[in-house]
Amino acid sequence: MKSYPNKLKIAVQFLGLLLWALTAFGHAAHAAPRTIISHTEEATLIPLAVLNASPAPLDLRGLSPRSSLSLPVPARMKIESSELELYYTNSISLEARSMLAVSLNDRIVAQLPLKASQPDNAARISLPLQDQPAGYHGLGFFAALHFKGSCEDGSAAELFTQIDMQQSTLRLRAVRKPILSSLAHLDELFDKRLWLNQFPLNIVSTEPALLEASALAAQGVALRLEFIPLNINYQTVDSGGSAASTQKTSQDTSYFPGLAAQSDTQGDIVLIGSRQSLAAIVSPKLLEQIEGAYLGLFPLDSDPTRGVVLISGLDAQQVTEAARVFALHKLALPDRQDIHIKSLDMPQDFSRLQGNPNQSNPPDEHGWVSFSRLDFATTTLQGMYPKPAELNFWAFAEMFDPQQRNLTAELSFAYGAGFDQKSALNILLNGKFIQALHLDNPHGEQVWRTRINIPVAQLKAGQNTLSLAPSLIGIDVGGECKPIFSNNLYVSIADDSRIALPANNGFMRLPDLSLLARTGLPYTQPYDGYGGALVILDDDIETHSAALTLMGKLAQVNKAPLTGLAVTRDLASLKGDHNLLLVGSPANLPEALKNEISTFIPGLRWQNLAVGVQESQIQASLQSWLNTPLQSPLAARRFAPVSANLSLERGLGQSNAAVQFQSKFSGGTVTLFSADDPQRLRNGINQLIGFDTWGALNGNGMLWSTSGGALGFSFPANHSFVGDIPATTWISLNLSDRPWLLIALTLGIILTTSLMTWFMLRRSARRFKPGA
Amino acid sequence: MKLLHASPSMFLWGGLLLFYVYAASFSLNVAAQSILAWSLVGLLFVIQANYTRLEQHLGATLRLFRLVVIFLAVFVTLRYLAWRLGSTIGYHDPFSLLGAILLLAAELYGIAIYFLGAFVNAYPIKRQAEPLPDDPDLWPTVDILVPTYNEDAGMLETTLLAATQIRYPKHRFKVWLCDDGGTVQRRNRPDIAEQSWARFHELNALCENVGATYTTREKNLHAKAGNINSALEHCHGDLVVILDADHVPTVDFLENTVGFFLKDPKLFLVQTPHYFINPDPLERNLRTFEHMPSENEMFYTVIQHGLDFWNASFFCGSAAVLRRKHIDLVGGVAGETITEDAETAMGLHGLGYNSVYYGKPMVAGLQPETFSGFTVQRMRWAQGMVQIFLLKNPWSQPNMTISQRLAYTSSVFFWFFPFARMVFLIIPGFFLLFGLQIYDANLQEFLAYALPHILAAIFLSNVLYGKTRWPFVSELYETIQSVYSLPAIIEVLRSPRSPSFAVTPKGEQLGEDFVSSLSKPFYILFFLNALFMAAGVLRLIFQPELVSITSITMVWASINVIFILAAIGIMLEKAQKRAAYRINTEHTHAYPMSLEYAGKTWPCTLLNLSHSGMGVRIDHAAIRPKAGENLGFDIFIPALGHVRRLHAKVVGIYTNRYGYEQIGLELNAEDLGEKRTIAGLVYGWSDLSEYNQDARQKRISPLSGLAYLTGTAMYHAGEHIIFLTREYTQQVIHALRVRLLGRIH
Repeated sequence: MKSYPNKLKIAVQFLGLLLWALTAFGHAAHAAPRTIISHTEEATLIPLAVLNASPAPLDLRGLSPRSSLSLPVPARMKIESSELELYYTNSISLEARSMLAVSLNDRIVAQLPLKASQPDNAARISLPLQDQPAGYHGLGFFAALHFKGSCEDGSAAELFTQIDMQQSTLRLRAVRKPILSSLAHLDELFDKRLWLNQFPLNIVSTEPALLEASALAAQGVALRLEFIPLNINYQTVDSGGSAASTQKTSQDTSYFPGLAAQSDTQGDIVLIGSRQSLAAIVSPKLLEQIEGAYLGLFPLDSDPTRGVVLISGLDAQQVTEAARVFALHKLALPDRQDIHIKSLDMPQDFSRLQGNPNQSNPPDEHGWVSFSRLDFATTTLQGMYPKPAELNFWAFAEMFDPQQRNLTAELSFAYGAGFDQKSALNILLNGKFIQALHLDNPHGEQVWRTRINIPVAQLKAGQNTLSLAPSLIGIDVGGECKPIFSNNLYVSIADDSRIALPANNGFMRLPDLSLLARTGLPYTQPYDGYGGALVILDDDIETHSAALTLMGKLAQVNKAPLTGLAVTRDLASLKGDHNLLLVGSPANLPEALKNEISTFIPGLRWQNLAVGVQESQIQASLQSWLNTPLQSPLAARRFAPVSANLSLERGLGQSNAAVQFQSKFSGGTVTLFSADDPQRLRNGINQLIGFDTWGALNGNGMLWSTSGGALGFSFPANHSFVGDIPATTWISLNLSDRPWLLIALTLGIILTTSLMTWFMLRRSARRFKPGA
Repeated sequence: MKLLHASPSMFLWGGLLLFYVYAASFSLNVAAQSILAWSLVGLLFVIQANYTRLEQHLGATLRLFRLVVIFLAVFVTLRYLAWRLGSTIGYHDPFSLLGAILLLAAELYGIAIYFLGAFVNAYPIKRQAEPLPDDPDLWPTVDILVPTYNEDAGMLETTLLAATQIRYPKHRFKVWLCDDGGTVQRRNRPDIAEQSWARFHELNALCENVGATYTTREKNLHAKAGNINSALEHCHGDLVVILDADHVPTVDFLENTVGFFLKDPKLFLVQTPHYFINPDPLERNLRTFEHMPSENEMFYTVIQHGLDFWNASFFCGSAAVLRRKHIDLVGGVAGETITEDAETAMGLHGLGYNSVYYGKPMVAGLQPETFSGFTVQRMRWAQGMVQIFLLKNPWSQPNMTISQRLAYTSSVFFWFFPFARMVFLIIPGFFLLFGLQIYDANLQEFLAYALPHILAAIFLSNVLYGKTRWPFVSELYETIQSVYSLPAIIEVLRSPRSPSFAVTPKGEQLGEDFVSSLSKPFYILFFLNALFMAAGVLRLIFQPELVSITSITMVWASINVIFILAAIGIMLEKAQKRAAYRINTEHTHAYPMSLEYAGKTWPCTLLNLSHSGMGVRIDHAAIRPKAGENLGFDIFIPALGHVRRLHAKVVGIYTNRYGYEQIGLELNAEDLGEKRTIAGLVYGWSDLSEYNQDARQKRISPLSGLAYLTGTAMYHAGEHIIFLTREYTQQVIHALRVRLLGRIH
C-alpha cells in the first residue's frame, strides 16, 4: 500500500511511452471490443464494460465529475492481486493541475495527471482487493478538470475526460477456496458474483425417471445465480456400472467414490438419484444417511474447491421433493451439511401478474398499484442530468377499454431549492417522451401524487418502462467567473407513487418470442408453470443438457422456479398441458403438430415473407365508407397483405431456430427450439441464454448462429390474444370490431326497453288513469 | 318495503333499465362509437322529420314510438356523458380547471334537465271532462276567488263579469273579489290613503254592480297567499277557484272541471291552462306572435299532460279548482315561498292527494307587455322555484312517490338555467381569448360523441315539444332571462327567505318604440362574443394546428351571437297602441253576424275582436259606413248559444290586401247586460282559444328553426341599431341646434 504512488508513477510513465511508441499496434490490438470476462492461466480479465453493463465509454464532464462501478468479489475466490488497466482520454484544453483519481470503496488509490499534451493515456493501478470481504465494492473515478487558472465555466465543453470501458480491464489473480459444506452457504457456492460469463454445472442423474428433479435442480442453481447464464452439462451414470469402485475400506473418507469420471469435468456437480441407485456412487456411510427426501452439500473428493449437491430420497417422489426444496432458492436452510425433508406442502396452479409478471400483489380496490409493488424503491437522483429512475410495469394496449386514451399514474416526489425555471422531471415511456413536470418552485417542494397521463397507444405489448429523467438546472447556471453550484440538485421519487393498472390475469398477445424472453410467458402463467410442459424430443445427453439449460434460463426470467411445469420425453404422456416447450428435432413430432409449425423448419415450411398488399374492389361497408366518405359507398378498395412462401429441403445448417405458434393440437402455445443435430442444439442453447441473444428473441421465429448472433426473424401475420381480461373490455373490443353487430344489439336493447316501458306505463295508465 | 311488493314485471323492467344504462356506458373505440352514434342520430333524424305524419297516422302506438325516440336519444347522450366524465377532464392549470368545472357543471345541469324532461314527457295523457250529475243540487258549491292588488277596475270588471256568468247553478257558486289594494292597512297609510279609499269604494261598487262579493283584510301579509287565505275565512264552498285579476274565464269552466272532484274524493286540484291573448315582449318585439307558438304553450300543452301521468301536475296560481277541505288540511295556501302555488300543490301531493290536469284553455289572460314587466315576473318564478328547491326540496317531502319527486325536481330544477346559460355564453372566450384547456378532446372524438349528443337532444326536443316550441326558442328565452335571473337566484341562494312577492305589471300601453332600460348587459355580451370571434380569427391565423378546436368554438360563439342579437332585437320595445289585443276569429266561422245599415241588415264576417272593439269584413258593396257612425249589429254568441244585439261606433275603414273592405268598430255597451254579452262574446267560448292555439302549433325542422331565428335576430337587431342611430342622430342635431340657437341669441 505504501509503495503505490511510486509504483504507479513508474507504471504510468512506462505505459505512456509504450502508447506513444506503439500507436499503430495499440489501435490494432484494441480494435476488437471486449465486453466479456476472459480467463488466462494467470489471471481473470474483466473489462469495465462488464461491470457497467454497457460498452459505452464513461464520460466525466464538468469541473469535478465522479462516477463509480460495483466490483464483485465472490466468496469462493481468494484474490492474490488485482490491477486495473485503465485507458482514458482527456481534453487537450486542460490545465496542468487537472487530474483523475481512482478510489476503492471511497478510498483514493491512485491519482493520475491529466495533461493537454498527452490526451491518450493508460495506467495500471493496483487495487487492494486481497483483504476485502466477499460482496460488492465501489470502484470510483473522480476527476478535477480545469481549463483556466481562474473564473472557470463549469459547463464548458472542454471539460471532459473519457474512460474506455472496453479496453480498461480489471486483472485479477485469484485462487479458488475450498467450499463451505453448509447448506446455509448454498448462495456462496452458486454465486452471481463469480467472474464468469456462464456458470458451468454438471447435473448427474442415476435414473431417466428423475428428469423432473433434474429440471428443478437446474432451476435451483439458476435462480441462485440470478442473471448469470447457467450452462448445464447433463450426464447419466449407470447405477450398477461403477459398483466396483465403491468397494473400499472403512478408512476411506471419500463421499463420492463413483464420481471419479465426472471429476475431470469443469464446474460443480448436482448429483440426483434415489438411495438405491446411488449405491454405486456414494460412500456407504453417506448412503446410510439417506432415509427420506435428502439434500446435502459436499466437497468433491478430488477437488474440495468444487461442490457436490446431493439430491436424493428413498424413491423418485422423495428425490423430486428434495429437488423442489432445492429449487425454492429463497428458503433458508440450516448451517449443516445435509438435511432430511420431513414434508413440503407446495401448492400448484397459483397465479400472479398484477402490474408486473413477477408481482403477486394485486391492485387496491381502486385499481392503483403502488410503485413499491413494482419493485421500485424510493430513489434520490442528484446532479444536472442524473441517470433516470425507471419503473417497469406490465401492460398491453388491448387490456384497456378501447375508449381509454391514457393510463394514469400519480407521482409523489420532492425536489430541492434553488432550481431554475427550466428544470423539469421528464417522463418517458419506453424511451419516448410523453410529459414533463415543472420543477420551478425556487424554495423546493414536496409534491404528493401529481397526475401524469401515459398514452395507452404508446404502450408496448408486455413490459413497459416508465423513465423519470430529471433535467436539473440550478439558478447558478455557471459561466465565466460564475461557478456552478449543483450540490442542491436533488430529486427524490417516492415509492408510494402509484399507477392505475387494470387487473391483469395473464392477458397476452401471442406468438411473441420477445414476450418469452422478457417474462417467460406464456409458460410462467401460472406462476409455477402449471399447465405447461417441457418436452425433450430426442433421447440423447446433448438435447437433455440443452433442455435443462433452457429451464434454468426460464426460471431466471420468472424469478421463481417452475415447479408445476411438467418435464417429459414423451409427448403422448401429457394430460391437460396446453403450453409446450419442445426441445430437439421436430422429426419426432406428431403430424398434426408438425403441420401447425409455421416457420423455420426445413422440409415443412420455411418462411412466409410479407412482400406487399394486393388491392381488390369490394362493396363498401358502412365502416369503410365512413372512413373515406368521399369515396363511392357502392364500392371500396380493400388491401390484403400478400406473402412470399419459401420451403427448403435441407436442414438448418449451422443455425439454430426458435419457433413459436398457437396450436390447436395442444390447445395452447408451442415453442420449439431445434437445430440440425443435438450437439449444435446444445451449443445453440448455450449461446441463446447469453444476454444478447436472449434479448434479441422476437417475432414468431428466430434463427441464430452458433456464435450467438441473431441471423433472422419471422413475424406473424396475425396475433392471438389469450388470457383473461375483464369481460367488459373483451365485449368492448369485440363490439368495436363488429359495428353492425353493435348497432343491431343497441337497437335491440333500445327497442326492448321501449316496449317494456310502454307496456308498464300503459298498464299503469289503465289502472290509475282510466278516464285519460 | 315498497320494493318488496313490486311485481316481477317491475323487477324485470327495472333490470332492463339498468342494463340499458349499463350498455350505454360501454367503452368503444372512436370509429365504432362514430358508427353507432351517427346511425342512431340518423334514425332519430328520419323519425323527427316525419313525426308530424306519424302523429296523424299512428294513433295509440304513437306512444310506443315516442318512447323509442326517447330511449334512442337518451342512449346517445348517455354514451356522451360516460365519455365526457371519463375522458375529457384533465388538469392543466388552475384556470383551465375552473373553466372545465364550470362547463361540466353547466352541461351536467343541461343533461339532467334533458333526462328529467324525457321522464316527465314519456307518457303524456289527455283527459276528457267528467260529467256532472243530472241534479244540480248534487253539484259541489264553488267559491271563485279573484285576488287583486293594483289592477285597474276596468280589467277587474271584465274578469268579474265573465266569472259571474259561468254556466253553473247560481246558488251553487259565488264570486269573490279579494282586494289587497284596499286593505285597512293601506287605507290608513297617509301617503296612499286617498287612492286606497278610492279603490275601496270603486271596487265595492263594481262588485255590487256585477253580482260579486268584495272582500279585503286588515294587513297585507304574505302577499297573494295571504290574500287568498284571508278570503277563505269568509267563504265555505266545497271547491275554490282561483283566478288572477286578468284571467277571464269561459262559461264552461266549472262544467269541465268540477266533475273530476265527484269522481275522485282524493282529488285536490284540477289545473287548466293559462291562455294568453296578447304577446309577450319577445313575441311582440320579434313579431312572432301570429305564427309561432307562445312560450307557455309548451308547458300547458305538453309538459303538464306529462306531469299529469305521474300525478304531479301542479297548481299554477290561477285557472285552477281546489278542494276546500284539502286546502284547509295544509293550513291554507302555502306562503313560505313566493311561488305559493307549486308549494301548496307539493304539500298536498305529499299527503297522498291527487291532481288532474285538464288541457282545454278556459281562461284568457294577459302577458306582461314590457321586457321589464316580463323580467319581474320571471325573476319571481325563478326565485320562488329556487326557494322551493332549498326550503321544500321534493326529495325531503314525505310520502311522495319517486316519480312525483322526479317530476317536481324537473319543474323546480329547471329554474337554475340562468347559471348554465351564462356559462354557455361566456365559456367560448375561455379558449378563444385565453387559450384555456377546458375540454380534453380531439376533433374525431368531438364528432363521435359531442355532436351526436347535441343533435340527439335537438331531435328529441323537436319530437317531444316541436309543435309548441320551435327549435332554439327555449335557448333564446333562457338567454334573455338569464342576465337578470342569475343575480336573483344568487340572492335566494345566499338568503332563501329574503325574496318578496312582486306583482307582475300587466295591461301596460306602449305609446311609441323605445329601448328597454335593461338592454345594457346584452350589448356587453354581444361585444364579448364579438371579441371571442376576433380572437378566434387570430388563432386560426397564428395557430393553424388548432384549426379544428378553434373552428368548433367559433361556431359555438356564433350561435351565442345569434341569441344575443335576437335579445338585442327584443330590447327594442315596439309600440302597443291598441287598448286590448284582438283575438283572431276569422277562420272559426263561429260568429255569424249581421250589420244594420241603411235600415237593412247585412251579413258580414267577424275578423277579430277584443272586449273594446272588433274588426269586421264587409262582404257587400252597399255598406259604406263613415267613421264615427254608430251602428247596431246582431251576432251569435257561441258561449251563450244565442244571438244578441250589440252597439258599436265605426273607428276605421280599411281595404285589405285582397280588396275587401274592413271596418274597425269600437264596442259601446249601453248597459250591464250588454257588457256581460261582450264578455261572453270575447272570452266565453273556450273553443276559440283552443282553435287559435292549435292554429299556431306546427312543427318545423331544427335547421328551419335555426334559419328562422338567425333571420329574425339579424332583422330586429338591425332595427334596434337603426333606432339607436336615429335617436343618437336626433340628439346630436338637437344639441347642435340648441347650441347654435344659443349663440344666435
